[in-house]
Order: sequence, then structure tokens, then C-alpha cells
Amino acid sequence: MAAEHKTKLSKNLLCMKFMQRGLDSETKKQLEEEEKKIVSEEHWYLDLPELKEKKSFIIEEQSFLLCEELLYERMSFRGFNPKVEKLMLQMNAKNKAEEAEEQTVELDVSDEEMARRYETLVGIIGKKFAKKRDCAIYEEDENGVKK
Amino acid sequence: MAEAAGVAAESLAGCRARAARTVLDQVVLPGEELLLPDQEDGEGSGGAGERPLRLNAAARSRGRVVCGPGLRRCGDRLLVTKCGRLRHKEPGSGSGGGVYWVDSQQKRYVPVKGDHVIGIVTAKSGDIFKVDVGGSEPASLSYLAFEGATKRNRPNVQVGDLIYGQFVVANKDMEPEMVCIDSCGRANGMGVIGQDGLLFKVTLGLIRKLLAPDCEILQEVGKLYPLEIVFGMNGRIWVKAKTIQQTLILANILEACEHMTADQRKQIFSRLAES
Repeated sequence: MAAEHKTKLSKNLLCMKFMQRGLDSETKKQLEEEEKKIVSEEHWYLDLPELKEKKSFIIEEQSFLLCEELLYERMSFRGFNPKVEKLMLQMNAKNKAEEAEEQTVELDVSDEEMARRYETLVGIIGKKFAKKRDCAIYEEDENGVKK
Repeated sequence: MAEAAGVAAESLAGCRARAARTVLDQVVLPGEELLLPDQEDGEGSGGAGERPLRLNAAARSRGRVVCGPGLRRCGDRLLVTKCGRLRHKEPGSGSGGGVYWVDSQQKRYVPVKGDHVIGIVTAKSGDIFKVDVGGSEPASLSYLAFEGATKRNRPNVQVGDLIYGQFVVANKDMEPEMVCIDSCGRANGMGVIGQDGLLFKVTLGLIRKLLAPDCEILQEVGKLYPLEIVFGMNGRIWVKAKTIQQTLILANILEACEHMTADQRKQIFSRLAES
């Protein structure tokens, strides 16, 4: 009776969760597709031509510091202000140093000594983290004689 | 305004768009377009003899060109916006294609980030000082922007004091902000400028001329008597000597040396050395 006439239910009702069990797969698929259509239509997109960003190699700068090399602006002559004179030497020397190539850093420790140190260092640190079973290995190496 | 300049430039461009290389150290006028070195060959020589064979890679490896004060970027070319002499500096360590700028003369200062300037404190409101630097707006200076300043230990700055500092924010959209410490937190000579002395204003071009590494004027001035000078890139110079008379002489020399020839300068210095 009631089951013979399939009452026409609205789409919204069919989409609701409690109705999903009773629906057959076809109607479910149809509903899904319609939903997807609506969702994708609602998405906004820009209808502009593709803007190619030109890689510009000209940089605009408004500062004169890049252009000209200027001295440090505070100056003192003939010992009027000793602090400023010290600053003058410092800052003007810094400017020159930045210009010149980086000087090679003098090594305090030579490479060979460094390598030697590292050799022994690895053993010492390794010993600290070795488990009990591995301790035996280190004991041998240290004395140079197998125990 | 940029669009108007662009349109005007285009109309002028038809007349002449010279190569930047040929115009170095010559006077250029606003509205001129300058071609960068590697663009000339393609545009300039019409049917001239052999064209140099250039690979595309070579053209691009020229690197970045910096367009400095007085120039603006206009497509691939440089557009001149101030009248003056065109200068060029070769790149030092091979990074980029050098710097082009226009050596112009003006009295009005426009704040630029990184510039060291002398300012006068005009107001003290809460946590910041308002400092007049000669621009369109007074710059703001926070009381914490001094070396060794903390919330408890405030710097001793009064209205009317002279401040030597640098800009950290300076563009046309915002109020300029300055500080008296560098990025490491050290003062490096910035801060309140001491007592006495005289502050006067000169053109911006003179400041740059005096601060050039090979400036003879300063070397000669330094031999006269003990003195102290502070230059601000906003056209202000502060000088101090032992007596008021010496200070005034110094101020007059510096103001006048802009328009003197080398001979006149030497005459004056010799006269001063005698007296």
C-alpha cells in the first residue's frame, strides 16, 4: 500500500543522514554528483590572463650609502674629543675592511694536530656511551694488549 | 604620478633613449630614459657592420643593477627623475652590475632608511621623543633605543637636545622612526650630542662632498685648531671648538666652501693660519 507508491521526497530530505541507509546506491551517487556540482560552481576563480612576473634585475634604492663611499660622520681633530677620535679610527677602518677581501683566518691549531686530537677524542667519547658488553673492546685498545 | 611620468617618458623615448654608458658624468634631465649596457646593441645599431655575437647567458649573467637616488626603474630601462650628473660605480666583489645614481643638489631632506642624521628633540610624549630631522614629519625615537637604556634606567634627554641617530623606518607611507643604537645594541657614537657648539644647515650635496674620502677641505680644517664636527645627512652640521670665535669661523668656512674654488680656499686658510 504505502510501499507501492514511492512518495516523492525532496532532495534535501534524501541528503539527510538518517535517509542514507534506505536509499539505493544509484540515488546516492546521483545525490553526490549534484552536491559536487553545486560546490564546484560556488568556488571563485580569477578570470585573468596569466600574469608573467618579469624577473627584474634592477633594484631601486634611495640611499646614498650604497652609491658613494663616505667617511664616518663624527670627526674630531687635534685631540678635541678622544672618544670620537677612537671611533673615527674604528669606523673608517671597518669601512676599508669591508671593501677588501676577507683575510684568511690564522689558525691557532694546525690541521695535523687537530686530526691527532680527533683520533683520540673519538675513542674517549665512544667509551662513555658504550654498553657494558662493548667495554671489553675499549679496554683492549687502550692498553694495546689483549686482556 | 608614476603613470604620468611613464607616459611622458614614452613620448620622450621616441626621441632619444641614450645608453647609460655614454652619459656618465654628464648632466641628465628628468624624463630621460637610459639604456643599460647590454641593451644598446639590440636597439642602437641599425645596420652597422658586424653585430657582436652574444649568447643569451652572457646577457643575463650581468647581474643586478642598482638604481640609486634620482633614478627609477621603467621597464628594462632607467628613468631619470632628478637633474644632475649621472654617476656609476663598478661592482666591488662581482655581485651585480654596479650602481647608477644621479648626483643632484638639493636642500630639502627626505628621510631614507639607514641614514645618520642630526635631529632636535621637540617633544617628549610618554615613551617616545619627537625629533625634528628636517623632513615632512618629525621622527619618533623610543627611549629604549639608547645604549644601556632600560625601563628603569631612562636616558637623560631633554626637549631641545641634539640627537645623532639613524633611521630604521623611513618611507613615504609611515612616520619615520630613528634609533641611537646599531643592530648589535652598541651606540657607535650615536646618542645625545654634547653641550655647546653650533648647529647650522647646508645643502645635502655639500655634506656628501665633505664626507668623501679624499676631501681636502676637512684635512685643511683639521690642521687649524682642535675641533669637533658632526655631519648629519639631513644637511645639518654641528661644530664645536674651544672658543666661540673659532666655532663661528669654522661654521663660516664650511658654509662658504661650497662655492669657493680651490685657490680661494687656500687663500683663506693661509690667512687664518697666520692670524
